[in-house]
Amino acid sequence: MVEQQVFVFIRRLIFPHFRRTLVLLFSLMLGVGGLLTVSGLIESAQVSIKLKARDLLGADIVFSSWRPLNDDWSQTQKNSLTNYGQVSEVLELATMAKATEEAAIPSLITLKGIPKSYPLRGQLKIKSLQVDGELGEAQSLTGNELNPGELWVAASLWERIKEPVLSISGQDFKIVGVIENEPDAGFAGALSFSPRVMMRTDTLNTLSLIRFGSRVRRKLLFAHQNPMALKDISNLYQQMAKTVPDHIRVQSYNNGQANISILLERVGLFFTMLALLGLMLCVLAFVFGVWSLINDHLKQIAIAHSMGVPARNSQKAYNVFIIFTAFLGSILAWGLSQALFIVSKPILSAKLGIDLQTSLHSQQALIALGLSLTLGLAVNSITQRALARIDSQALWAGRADGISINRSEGLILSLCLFATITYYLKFSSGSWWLGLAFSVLIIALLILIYCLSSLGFYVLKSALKWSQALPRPVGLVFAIRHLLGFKRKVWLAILSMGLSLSLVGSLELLSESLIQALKVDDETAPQIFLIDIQEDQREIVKDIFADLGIPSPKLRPLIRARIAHINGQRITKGMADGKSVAERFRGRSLTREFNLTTQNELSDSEQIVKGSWWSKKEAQDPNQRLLSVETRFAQRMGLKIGDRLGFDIQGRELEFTIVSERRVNWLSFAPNFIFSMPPATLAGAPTTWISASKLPQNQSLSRLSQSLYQKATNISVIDLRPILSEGRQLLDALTVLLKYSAWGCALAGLLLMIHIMIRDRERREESTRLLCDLGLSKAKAKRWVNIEMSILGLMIMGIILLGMLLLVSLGCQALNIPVYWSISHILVWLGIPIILPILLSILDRR
Amino acid sequence: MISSVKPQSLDQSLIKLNKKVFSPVAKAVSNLRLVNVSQSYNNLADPSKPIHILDEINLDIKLGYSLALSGPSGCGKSTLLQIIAGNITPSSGEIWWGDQRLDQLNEAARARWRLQNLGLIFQDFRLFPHLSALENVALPLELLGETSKVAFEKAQDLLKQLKLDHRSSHRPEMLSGGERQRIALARALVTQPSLLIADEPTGNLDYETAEQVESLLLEQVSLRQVGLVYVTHNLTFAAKAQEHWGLHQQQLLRRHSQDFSV
Repeated sequence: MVEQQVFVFIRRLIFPHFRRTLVLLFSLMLGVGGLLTVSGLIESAQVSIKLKARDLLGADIVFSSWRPLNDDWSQTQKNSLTNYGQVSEVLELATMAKATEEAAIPSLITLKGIPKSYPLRGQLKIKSLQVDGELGEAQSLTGNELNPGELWVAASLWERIKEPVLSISGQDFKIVGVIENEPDAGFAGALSFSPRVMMRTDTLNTLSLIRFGSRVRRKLLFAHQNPMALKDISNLYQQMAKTVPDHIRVQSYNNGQANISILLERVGLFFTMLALLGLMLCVLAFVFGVWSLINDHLKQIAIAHSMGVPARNSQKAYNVFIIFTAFLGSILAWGLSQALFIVSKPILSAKLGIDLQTSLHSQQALIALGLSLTLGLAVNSITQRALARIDSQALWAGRADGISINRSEGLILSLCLFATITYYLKFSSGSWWLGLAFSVLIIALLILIYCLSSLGFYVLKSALKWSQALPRPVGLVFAIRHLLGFKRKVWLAILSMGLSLSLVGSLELLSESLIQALKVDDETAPQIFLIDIQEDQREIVKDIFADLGIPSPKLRPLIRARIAHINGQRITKGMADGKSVAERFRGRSLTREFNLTTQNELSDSEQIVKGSWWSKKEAQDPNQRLLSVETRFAQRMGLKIGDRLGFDIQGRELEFTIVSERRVNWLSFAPNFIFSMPPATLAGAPTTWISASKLPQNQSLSRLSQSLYQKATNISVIDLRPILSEGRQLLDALTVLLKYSAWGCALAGLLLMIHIMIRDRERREESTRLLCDLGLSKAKAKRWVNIEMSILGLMIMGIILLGMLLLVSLGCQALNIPVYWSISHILVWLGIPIILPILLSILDRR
Repeated sequence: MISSVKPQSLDQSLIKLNKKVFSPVAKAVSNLRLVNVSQSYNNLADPSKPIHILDEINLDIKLGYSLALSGPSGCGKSTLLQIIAGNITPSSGEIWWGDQRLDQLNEAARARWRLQNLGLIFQDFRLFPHLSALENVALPLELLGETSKVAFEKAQDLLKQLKLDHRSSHRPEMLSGGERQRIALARALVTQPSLLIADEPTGNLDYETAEQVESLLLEQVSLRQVGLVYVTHNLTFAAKAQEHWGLHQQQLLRRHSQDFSV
């Protein structure tokens, strides 16, 4: 009998309020599902990278350097490693190649010299070129199959030339296959402006491409004789990592993709934050939905009680209802995350170049269930307590105004929510600070929106008061009074739409600003980069330019170096393995290889912001080791004027003192550098030269490339346009993903708004009816509702405008780009909040 | 029968304003007549047999007098009241306001007429919950085009007369049932209407409060010389009206008439 009563109650909760139950389910589905999707995708990508780390590295252990691996340490390691397994040496460098025709245009390639044993791990798949010029089936091969004078080329290059002979450094090579899969390509495969070409290492060494100061990456690959001897591999790696010189980077298969992992972690964190913001709005929508449902159900509770249904049974019914909703919501959330995963998997797999794992996702259902149930039970507990506080006499008489959640309970619920957000972010990033900072930021945003709304209310109230004696449209007055009379709901509506739409709008404007900033100014921006120019080739380059009638290029010296110490504190490899993301970022930034330059004067894209530039006299003194640092790098690394930096320049250590900080316009596309020194201090250091040029309108890139290829084959000509286009495509893809996530947040905001509308519907109907009874025509009464919604929209619009101003300014400041205020975008984002409430109100009236 | 009496206390400026704003139905002092008014609804169960609520009702509502309507639940009292208020157009028959035929006006014009000439009081008070007592009372004047300042002054005066001025800043949720109904009465009276229509005005009140509200209502009607039509189940309250009609089987039956004039 008791069970029957409970079920009758539940039936009455679900069926007559079917739409509301649906909105409650949507709230859970969207909030929890969004978070699961983001976390699932990131985790899946990370695990996939880990699982395929050996293939991605092409070995068990790799050590690499931009210097020749002929130092004592490398020699010792090579000898030692051959006792445990196989060792193989690979070279990589950028250079130019062309088809054999006279008129063929040279293009940039990444040349890789491979030994017979390559690859040691993973599969190198090649489609052999048949006699008839067609490609055969892809087969797993090794460098052993490649003869001297033969090449394997990337598919993109093959598609471009479609000719079996390729000229590199003035020599002709026969193309015998097209690369289908290269194991240790990492994630560079996504960039196609510099296609891969493979030849045997011994052949590469015979070419005159590798010269003094050339940028050549040398890699030593090692594979243990027993692939399952993971402990031995790990021990070998540990031993090497302890003694490795700073200019050599050692990677093992289980830490080999640290860069991409960090990148994924950072991008993932951003998406996680968006998802958490969406979750917060969905939780608000859920709480509001449950609260309003129970409030509207009070009369039924009273009737049931008067009919003899004990209070505990109605409570039990609510418990079952909430648990049922949470359970169903979690299933839907899991379903949504799976659906989104299936949709995003091919896109992300293509972008990352690896197949994402799907096996992880069984545990996501448990997480969804746990999150939904915890949320449901917390909300239920609070609403039940509020229900218990209602005066039983008032309830009996049907006079109960509704349940109200008291401040302490609301505070506890909010604290639980923010604690969950903080812990989740700590779990994702490993940093309590990030979690706390994000929670504090959200709380600050909520307080800000509350304060701004209060200010809006105050302005409206004052305006009403001041204009009392003036003739004014009564509809407007009534609408304002209506808004002032239900401040809490109005605040919730402003919060739901203001927060979410300002986020979407800001992302839109930010991406537009980025696109504008990346737009190359055809009048002034350079189109081509020449790199790897040797000292003796400077005049050749100038002559070629003069012959073609191109203005003489400005050549900038480039010296490769590493930071050895800062103020005497050694910069070691271990710094890159810091505990937090920030520490790892700083470590990686400081331990990487840098391009240094020397100059007497500032270039057009530089500006001193701190300290002073060196005088001519100082610039000529080799003992005055002065240094100018790019200001944002200095800020991030905590460098200041007067700090001493030691640089390891190809094995020689020199100490410099920071005397100035420069702001560099990176988007000028001119050769820009983080570190700059007076020329005299680095005289004699291994230097190559770099130049950026703009071609006159009557001059084509092909003629320049051909001339350069004939006289200086090692000089690489980089066309900026395809690189920028590739960059823009990547940026667009990222922006689209961000926008989808932000739209998820906006949808969460909309759900909250719909809850508010549903809750408010009865009161609005009664208000309109009463106005009509008092003598207002129906058309006018409807118009008044629209006026009210328009004012609400205006308030939301104000919040969005301020939010966008704040977020876009902060974003552009962080990215160091000028803000591009796209009027059409702004108008759209300001129009939506006005149209949306009116539209919802009209739909609701129908 | 009751003789027609013109109310003398209408504010001339308000009439002027109303003429300007609410043309063509200007405020005028008239009788309200229902001639052969019938009301029926479609029967969803059997469309061939419509449900008849009112059948050929004839009623002459003389202004300045009070008229009570009573009858069993569901007999059509509230429907009749809504027809009188112009909120529902009857299925057939005519409604005259002086020489103006109300049932032929469109919804907007009927609403304007209602605003100008009627004051409405409901059983469940129907005050706007977001407005203070003063704002609730002043609203009809604002709807008529008064500035808020003037409307508030007049509403405050009225609240003072009804001894509710100390509650003027309170919202309905902070008032007792009796106070809410007195606020509703003030709202009905503030435009100085020709006719008050009250649908069970004491139905939601306890006995003592109900008596106070009844007295106040009749006192104000008498004082302001406005007509009053009210529905009640309380026969004692109904007996206080100058005419008492009962609605029975879609027809009006006269219960009593105090044939005295003011």
